[in-house]
Amino acid sequence: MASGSGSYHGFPAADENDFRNAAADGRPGYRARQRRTVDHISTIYRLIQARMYQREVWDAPAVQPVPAAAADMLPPAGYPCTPASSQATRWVSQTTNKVRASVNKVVWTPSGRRLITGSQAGELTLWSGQTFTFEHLIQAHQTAVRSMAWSHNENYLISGEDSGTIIYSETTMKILKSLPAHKEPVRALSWAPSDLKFCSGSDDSSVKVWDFARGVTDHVMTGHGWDVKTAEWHPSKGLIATGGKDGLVKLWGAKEGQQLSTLHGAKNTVLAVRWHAGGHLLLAGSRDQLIRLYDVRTLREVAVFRGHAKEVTALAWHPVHQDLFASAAHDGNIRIWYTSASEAASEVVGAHEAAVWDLAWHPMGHLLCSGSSDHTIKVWGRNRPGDALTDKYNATARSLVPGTGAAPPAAAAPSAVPGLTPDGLPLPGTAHLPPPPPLPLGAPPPQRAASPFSG
Amino acid sequence: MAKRKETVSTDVRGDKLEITPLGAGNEVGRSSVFMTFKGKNILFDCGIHPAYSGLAALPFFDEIDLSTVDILLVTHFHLDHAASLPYVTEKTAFKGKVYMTHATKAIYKLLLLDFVRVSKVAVEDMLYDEHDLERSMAKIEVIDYHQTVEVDGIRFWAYTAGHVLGAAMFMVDVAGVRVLYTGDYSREEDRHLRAAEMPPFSPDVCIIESTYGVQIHQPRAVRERRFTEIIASTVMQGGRVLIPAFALGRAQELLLIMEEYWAAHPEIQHVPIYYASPLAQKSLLVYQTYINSMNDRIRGQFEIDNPFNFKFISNLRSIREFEDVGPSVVMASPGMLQSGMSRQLFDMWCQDKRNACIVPGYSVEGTLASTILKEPKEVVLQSGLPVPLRMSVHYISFSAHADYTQTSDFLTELRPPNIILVHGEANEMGRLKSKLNTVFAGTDIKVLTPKNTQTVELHFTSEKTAKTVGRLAAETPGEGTQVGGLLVKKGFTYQLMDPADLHTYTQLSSGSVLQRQSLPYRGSFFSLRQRLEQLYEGVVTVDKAEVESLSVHGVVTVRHESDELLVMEWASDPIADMVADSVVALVLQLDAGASEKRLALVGTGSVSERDELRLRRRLLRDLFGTVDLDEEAKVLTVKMDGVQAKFDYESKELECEDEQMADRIRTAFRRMDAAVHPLKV
Repeated sequence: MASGSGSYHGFPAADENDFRNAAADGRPGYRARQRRTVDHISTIYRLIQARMYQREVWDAPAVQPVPAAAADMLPPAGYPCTPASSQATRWVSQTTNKVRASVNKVVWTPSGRRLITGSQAGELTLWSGQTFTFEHLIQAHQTAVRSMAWSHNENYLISGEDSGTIIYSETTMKILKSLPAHKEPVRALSWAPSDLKFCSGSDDSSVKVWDFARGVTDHVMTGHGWDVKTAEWHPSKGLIATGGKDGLVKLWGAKEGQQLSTLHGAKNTVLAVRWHAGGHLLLAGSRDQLIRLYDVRTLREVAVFRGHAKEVTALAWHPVHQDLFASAAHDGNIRIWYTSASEAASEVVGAHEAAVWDLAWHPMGHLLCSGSSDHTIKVWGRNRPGDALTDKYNATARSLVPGTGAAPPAAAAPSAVPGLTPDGLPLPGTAHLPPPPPLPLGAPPPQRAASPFSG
Repeated sequence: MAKRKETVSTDVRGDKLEITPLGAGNEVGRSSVFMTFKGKNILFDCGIHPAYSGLAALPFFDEIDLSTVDILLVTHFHLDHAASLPYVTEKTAFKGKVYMTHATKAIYKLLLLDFVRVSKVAVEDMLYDEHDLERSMAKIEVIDYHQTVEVDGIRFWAYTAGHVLGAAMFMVDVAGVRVLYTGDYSREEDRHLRAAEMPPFSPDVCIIESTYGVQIHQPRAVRERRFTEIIASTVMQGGRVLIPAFALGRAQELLLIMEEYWAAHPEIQHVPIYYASPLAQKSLLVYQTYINSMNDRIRGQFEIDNPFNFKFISNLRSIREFEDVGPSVVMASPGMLQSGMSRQLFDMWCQDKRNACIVPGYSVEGTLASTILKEPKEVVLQSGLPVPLRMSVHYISFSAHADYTQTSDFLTELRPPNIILVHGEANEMGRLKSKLNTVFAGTDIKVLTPKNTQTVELHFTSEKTAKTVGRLAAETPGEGTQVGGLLVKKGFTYQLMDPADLHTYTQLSSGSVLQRQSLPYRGSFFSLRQRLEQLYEGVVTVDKAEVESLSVHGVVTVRHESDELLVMEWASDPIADMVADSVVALVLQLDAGASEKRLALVGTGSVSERDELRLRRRLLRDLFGTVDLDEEAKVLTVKMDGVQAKFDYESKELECEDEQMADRIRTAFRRMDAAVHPLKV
């Protein structure tokens, strides 16, 4: 691992200022920066070890609220009943492309080893999924990248740009095909569960279903009155949900290319629709600052999440905790919500200096990546046991569990919404924990500047 | 009629047509488009910008000289299209004519009175007051749909625009170049309004609104169903429904929808519907009056009963009359919940989750209506008290503007060679432009999006064409056939017609000019007749004439009035004029011959030596003053300044002491001789 103390799941406590004045490699002007590493492998070892004596998941040992206990942390899958442990509000890393441009899209490779970002300049940049260092860059597009999606079989990446072209790439980032798909920006791409088809939504207000192998349209679906801003294929069915500038969420039958239903409710552009992994719930974020949760079985709005003070620009369901999702707004704030609570579980105020355009959870769920129009890509991690939440972003965060991001699961309360775990808050046994020590070890003590890393 | 040709190339420049948006160029609000062609200046609409106040809200009138505007056409009564009219007529040098439809004029007055009342409180620099408005009313002339009006060579007529009651699209024809200004229009027929008409021919320029850009509306049925469903479910739960709406325009459509729904659903008929606006009563009267401007559907209903005599809807003049007991539906103005009744009701109801608020149209950013669309947790009441917002808020757009489908269909059918987009947000306008450019790819159709005060120059070759009408047009002339007739120019149009058709096709009637000329003639009438007979055939004596008369060639009559006078008469036409000319020449020649003979006689002194002496005396008196004539001795005595000169006419001798004077007298006599005795030729 890159840094000595980073061998546990989290990242070293040292903050980036520690090395600000140190010269590395004798290169003048080079500001040595500590690369934070988030290694999820060790947490998986822990999980495998724990499984040996653990009959049920809730038999997992409690994580003590001290920094040293970070080594005992399990991956999010280890805490199925404690979604609070996966609130990624801790700043981990910030990178910027050499060509500074708004980051319109971020995706993780399905294995989680790399992070791929698409920029306004048309570049696809590959970043390491653990150290978040630059790996590779391809100028795949001539115009701004607007959408990206990995196939479920992890073999192909499709990306769409402002000119309406869709590009197929391999895992090696070799471009296979360039498909003139739309006349206006391709705002959304999403794969069918079978990976044989994908759908695209565009500003020309049409939604198209494509045959991936042949690269031809199966259906052109029109019905949106204005730009289609977002589209997602149902996780298991031939059903496509789209949202558009006309403030409508529409459901389409992908096989017949028919419009099935329209969900009214949003009073402004719908910028993001995301299917819940269970396939029954659909989340829609709109420029009217609200996030709405629809149940497609009844076509009713089941919940409204209000709290963002600007347009909701991006949404992402947590890959492991089914009732957790993240949202981002035009003012650069990121919020993490439980579906069962109308208030946000936590908020990162000023996560970015400008609008956040996309959010993506690491497939394992321990990291959240955000791309923004302030040209930066930021990665957010789980808070570690004993964190005082005193860093810049967490200081304003309203985490509902003081002192810990990874509390041990107690007896799980029965779920309020069938099929969803309870929000589990406040967790029995943690709510009454003593407050963290005044200067926890997790906080960057000033004397750490002379840490062993500087040598 | 020959097909008009438009020249778009810059090489062959024809007459320049200039179109300048003074407002609504790349923006929504303060519509005003100025057009000038062949010295005719036309202004379409004069609105104000709702987001600004005072002079800042006006279109950029400074760009043009308002005193040169010939006509001002107002499409409909909305403030962003008509509200600066009193300012233009009363506060500027404007002296043209103003036209709008009857219904527009009626509602314009109502609406602007209200506007003045509101702005009196809110704005310090008021543009005009009630008196200006009253005076402007007198200057507005009304026009009916399809009625052609011609002012000073500008012909224009109106088509139904469908946007609101009385809304019109204007087609202006100056010198054969036609410009269509749509104003706000909608091609969708609703409960009471007709859809915008399709002009039967293509204009040269189409100035069209682009409010909705590339957006496509939800079907009307869907919107109406959502609207009625929300109302019904709310009142069924015991809630109250607040519909903040502008008092005039779409409100009437919503009332019709609700009335219809109530009539069909007896189970909710106990729930009262109120139309709460200070203008409620008056505006309904206007709507009841102008049923004829509406569509067939509503006129069909009118046969049975006036559809604006609502059964389930009652008017509410003020909040004090309102008894808030149990569920009700209230449509209240103003539309954006700024103040007034809609705001009072909102404050009363916003905390009850059973209640609902339906925003039926666009709301300006910053108003409460736009704030509640973002569903904040708390709202601030008028009293300043923050309270939780629990009532449900819905947004269903009922605004009647054309969407992309309507616009592109309209333009595809109309195919105007020049399209100018106005009244739209810049970005959306750009997208509409590029989308229209793809639709019209491969054609000569140009789409332009000028900004405010940016002039579009178009050139039209003024190929003069004349329309042949009447009996001249009865037969199609073949190749090489010459067609002749009268060319009549009216305004900028030319018509070629047979003189006999003049009365039919124009307001002109044919007349003739009778010319009469008196000529001195001392010769004998007989010799004149002889000379005329040598020149002309058909010289006949006119019978039953008072004096001796001749008719020459049947066109010129020559009368021998007296021994010394002839009078000629003829009706002026090219041939008669020519004959008359020659007769005059002949008479003068004859008369000159006669005079010569007479003068020759004077030279011999045989005839009137006495006359000549008198003549000389008269002439000398003009020159020297006192002249005495001794007729017996034939001696002229000239006295001047005490000097005397004697001239013996017989011997032509002059006695004079003063040499100078003698010289002068001699010179005078020499000149007299030259004048009196013509030279022998």
